[in-house]
Amino acid sequence: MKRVMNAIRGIDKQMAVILFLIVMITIVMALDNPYFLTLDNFAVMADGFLFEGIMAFGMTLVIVSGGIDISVGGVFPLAAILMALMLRSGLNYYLAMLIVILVGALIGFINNELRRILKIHPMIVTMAMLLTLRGLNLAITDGRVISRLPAGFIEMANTRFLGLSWPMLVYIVLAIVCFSLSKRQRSFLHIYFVGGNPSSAALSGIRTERVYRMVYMLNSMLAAVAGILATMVYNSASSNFGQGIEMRVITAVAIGGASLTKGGIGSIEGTILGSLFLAMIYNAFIMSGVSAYYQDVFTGLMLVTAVVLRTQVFRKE
Amino acid sequence: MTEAVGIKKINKSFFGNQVLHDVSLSIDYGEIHSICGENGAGKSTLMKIIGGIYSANSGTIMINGQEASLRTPQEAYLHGIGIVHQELSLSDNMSVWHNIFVNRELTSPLGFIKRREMQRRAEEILQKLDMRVDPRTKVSSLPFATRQMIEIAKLLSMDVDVLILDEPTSALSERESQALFELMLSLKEQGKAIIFISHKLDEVKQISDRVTVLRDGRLVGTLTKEEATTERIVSMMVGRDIDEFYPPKAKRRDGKIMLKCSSLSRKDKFEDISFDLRAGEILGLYGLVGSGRTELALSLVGADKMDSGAVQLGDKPFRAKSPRQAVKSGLCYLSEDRKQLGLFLEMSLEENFVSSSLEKVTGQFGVIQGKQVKSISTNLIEQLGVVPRRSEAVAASLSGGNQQKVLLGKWLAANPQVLIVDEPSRGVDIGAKSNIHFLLRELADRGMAVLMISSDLPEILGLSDRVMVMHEGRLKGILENTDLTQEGIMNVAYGEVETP
Repeated sequence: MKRVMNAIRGIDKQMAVILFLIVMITIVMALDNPYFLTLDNFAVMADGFLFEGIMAFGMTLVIVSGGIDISVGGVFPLAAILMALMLRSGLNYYLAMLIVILVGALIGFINNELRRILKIHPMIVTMAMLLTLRGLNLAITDGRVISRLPAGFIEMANTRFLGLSWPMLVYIVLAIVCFSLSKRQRSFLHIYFVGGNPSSAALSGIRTERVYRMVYMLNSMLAAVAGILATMVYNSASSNFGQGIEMRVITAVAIGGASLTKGGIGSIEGTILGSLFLAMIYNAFIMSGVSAYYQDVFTGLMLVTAVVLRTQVFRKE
Repeated sequence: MTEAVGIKKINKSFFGNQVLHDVSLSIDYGEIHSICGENGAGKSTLMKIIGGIYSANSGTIMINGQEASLRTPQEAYLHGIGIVHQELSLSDNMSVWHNIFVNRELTSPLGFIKRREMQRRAEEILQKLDMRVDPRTKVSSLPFATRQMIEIAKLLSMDVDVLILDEPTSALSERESQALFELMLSLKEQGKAIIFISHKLDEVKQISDRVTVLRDGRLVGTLTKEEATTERIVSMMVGRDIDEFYPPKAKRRDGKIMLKCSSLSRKDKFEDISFDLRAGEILGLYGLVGSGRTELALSLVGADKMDSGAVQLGDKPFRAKSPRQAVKSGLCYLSEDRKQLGLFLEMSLEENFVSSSLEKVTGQFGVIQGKQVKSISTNLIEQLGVVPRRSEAVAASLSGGNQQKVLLGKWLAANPQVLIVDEPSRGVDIGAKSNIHFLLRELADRGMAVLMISSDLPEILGLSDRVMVMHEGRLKGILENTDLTQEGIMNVAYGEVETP
C-alpha cells in the first residue's frame, strides 16, 4: 500500500492532469458514440498520429538536452521520397531502409555540427535545415507524387504481426526501448544532466558535445524511420508529406510535460501520454464532425495550456 | 610527509590577460592547505587547472612525484583528484543519487545503470555525513546548504586522495561549517590531501596546517599554522597593511527616527517585526539566507506584498505599493543580487548611475540631459573611487567590487533618506570591502539612515551601531553594539529565549 501511495506521489502532476483528461475524453466520447471504444476506432486514432508519435521520442531527447529541432519536418518527407526512389530503382528494401536512416543520421550530424561550430541557436540552424530540405524535396520530386512502388514492397508493407500494422509495431517497440533507455541507460541519463545545467555537467566530466551529437542524430534518424513508414502506409511519397508535422511533434512533447525553455525536464512516458492525448483529440474532432480546420486552433490552445501548466501551475519550488 | 600535488611554474592567461605567473606550490598528504587571496587573485583558476578544467599555458603538475596530464575533469579524477566547485555543480533537475554518481554511474556492460545499488551506496555516504536526506529527493527541493553538503558527499563517494574545496562554506551556517570541518579533519587523519579555499579568515586559521597567499596571480608566500595571523594573511593578500578595516561608529545617535516599523508580517516569510531606524545610524540586520531578512526588505520597498503591520517613513505613515514609489518617497533598496536585480550589465556606468533617478536628469519633452548625466557620473566615480574612471565603461566589464560601488552610486544619485543595503560586500575584495564600509559610514554621518543586511558577522560587528538579529522569520533581538561578540549574536539567533 505504501508503495502504491509513493508511486502515485511520484507521478508528475502535469502527467496526472493529462491522464485525467484522457480518461474524461474517453468516457464522454464513449457515452456519446459507442464506436469510440472499439478496436477499429483505436486503430484509426493511432494511424492518425503514429508518425508524430515516433518522431516525438527523438524530439523529447532533443528538448530535454535543452535544444530544439524543427528540421524533422523536412527529414520526414525526404526519407519517404528517397525510400520510394530507391525502391523504384530496384534496390533491396532493407538496404534502402538502412540508407535512408543513415541519411537521417547525417542530417542530424550536420545540424549539430552547425550549431557547435557556428554557435548558433539550434532553432535557427534547424529552421535553415528545414527550409533547405523542403526545397530539396520539391527539386527531387519536381512537385510530383512518386508512386507505383514494387509490388513485393507493397505486399511486405501490408503484412501484419498479431494484427498490428508496421507503424503500430514500430511505435510500440520504440516506446519500450526509448522508455527503458531514458530511465536506465547511462548516456541517456546524461542528456538530463546536460539539459539541466550544461556547465555543471561539463564540470562533472560529462562530454556534453557527445550528448548533443547523439540526440540530434537520433532525432533525425527517428524522423527518417517515420518517413519510411509513411512510404509503407501510403505506397507512395511526396514532398507534401507531413506539412507542419514538426509543430505537432513539439506540441505533443510539450503537452507531455517537457520544458521548451529550460532543458532537463521531460520524459518519454510523458511524451507517450502527450501523443495519445493529441491523437484522441483529433479523433474526437473527426467523430463529432467538427471541421478539421479547427484542429490546429485546438493544437495551438493546447500548447499554451501545457506551457502554462508547466510554468505557472505546477512550477517546482 | 609525502607530496601529493606538486605545482611547478604554472602560467595561465585568458585572452592575453595573464592570471597566473609562475606559481609553484606543494601540497602534502595528511595536510589541510588553505589558499587565500582577493577575488581575481587566481585561486579558482589554479584549482581548475589542477581539476583538469583549464589547461595551463606552461608549467607542470606532479601527482605522487610523477608528471601528470590533466586535460579533462575525467583525467584529474583518474589521478585521484576531486573538486567541489565554488559555483555549485549539481544538476537540480536530478535526484541526489543521480548527482552523487554523475558520470561515474555503476553500470552493466551494456551501459544500463544499477539504480538500487547506487541508491543504497548514496544512502551510506549521506549517513556517514550525518545527513538525513533521502537519496531519491530531487536536488531542486533541497535548501542551499544541503546542496553544498551533497556536493561534498559526491566528492567523498569518489574516493579520491586529493580533495579541493573551493569556498564550500559560503552558503553554510556556522553549525554546518563546523560539521564540515570535523569531516575534513577526519579525512586528513586518513592521510588525504585537502586544499581549502575560503574568504573567511577565521575558518582558514582554525582549520589549516599551512596557508598560501596569492595576489594578482603570483604566489606571495606560504605560512605555517603558527605564522598565519589575520593581520599577516591580509597584508599579504592586499599587498599593504590595512590598519583599519572598519570605520568608527556613529558620531551622533540622537537623530530623528526615519523609519518606524511595527509588527510587520508576511505569511511564511517573516512575522511580527518591529524596529526603529534613526538618521545617522547604521543598523545591522544579521540573518542567514531564509531568515526572512531579504524578504522583509523587499516588502518594505514594495517589491513584495506585506500582510500586516504599519510603517512610518519620516513623519508620515507609509506603505509602498511599488519600488518606484519607495524611491520617490526616499527609501532605496540595494539588492544582494547585483547582477540579477541591481545593475544593467550591458549599459554604461553613467546610464547605471542615473537609472534610479531619471526624472532628475530629464528635461522638457522627456529628453535626457547628457551634460547633467555626465557631471553626476563623474562626481560619483570620483566619490566612490570606481575603476575604471570612465563614464562610458560598460558595467559588465567591471570587477565585482567596482560593480558594487556603481550600484551604491546608483542609489546615491537618488539621494534617499533611508538606504537599505543587502549584503553590500558579498563577493568583493577586502580592499574594496573596506572602501564600501567607509562609504556607508560617511553616508550615515551625512544624515542618512542605513539598514545593512548581512550574514557576514565580522562585517555586522565592525560596522553596525546596533544589531538586529533575525532567524527563521522572527526577530530574535536588537542589541546595542558594545562588547558584542560573534558568539553572542549566534546565541541570540539560535537561542530559544527572546532578548528584550
